[in-house]
Amino acid sequence: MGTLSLPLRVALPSTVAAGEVVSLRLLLQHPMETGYRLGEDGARIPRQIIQSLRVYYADRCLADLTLQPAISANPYFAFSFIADRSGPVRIEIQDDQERQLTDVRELTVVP
Amino acid sequence: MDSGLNRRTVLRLGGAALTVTVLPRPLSAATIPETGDLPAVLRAHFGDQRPEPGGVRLDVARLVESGQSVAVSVRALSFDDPPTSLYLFMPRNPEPFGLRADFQPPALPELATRVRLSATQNLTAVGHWADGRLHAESVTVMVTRGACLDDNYGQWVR
Repeated sequence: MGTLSLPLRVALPSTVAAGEVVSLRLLLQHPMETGYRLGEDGARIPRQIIQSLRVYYADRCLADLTLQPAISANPYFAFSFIADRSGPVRIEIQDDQERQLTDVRELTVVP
Repeated sequence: MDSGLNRRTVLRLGGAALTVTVLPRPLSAATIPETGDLPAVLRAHFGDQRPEPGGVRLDVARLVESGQSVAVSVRALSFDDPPTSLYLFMPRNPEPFGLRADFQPPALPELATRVRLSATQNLTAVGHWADGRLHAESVTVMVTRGACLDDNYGQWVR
């Protein structure tokens, strides 16, 4: 299983109040190549997509996404969750060649 | 000359026939666009169980210039009784299944993203609850330019 290296922008506050609704926004730079397009030479451009995206918060899986070519190039996702304790927010992304990218942010929850 | 079938009668009959046969075509083409076979797509995914209306909310523009990147947001109507999964279906895309998102508390059952639409169609969000309930909402999105716009465009629109 290789590593996936692509630009990922994460919008997440660093400190929130307990019980607050937190918004997590992700923007990936990825072509999400459908496998249906033809290149300059008339040959099919092979499919290359992000097929799985998981968000963990304090060791709980908040969201587990299965993605298909219908997701636009440079995928954008917005999630929301209720802050109940301080802990890491971990984002795990996997493409269809089983390459992985992991990004971890710390979220501090104040009472 | 009193045959009953003179020039005037023929014209009148022909005119009547024209109104009957020609008129319905442009009318139906203008009011009912092709939106894809949603029941078949849902059946392929959920079997014979048909999703009920209500329960989920799908927010998307009704008319988009380009199908390359269409902003969509889906959420459950009640956060007290959240679904375990949300789905997005594009019945006229080459692959009608677009996305599945499984949620667990403390996540709220809502998601925003951007999708590709190959043509005008009934974009559909489905929520799946732990007790087996299925709820869906469809929105007809008119797409001016589809996402699969290249030489073999026609080949990829269902």
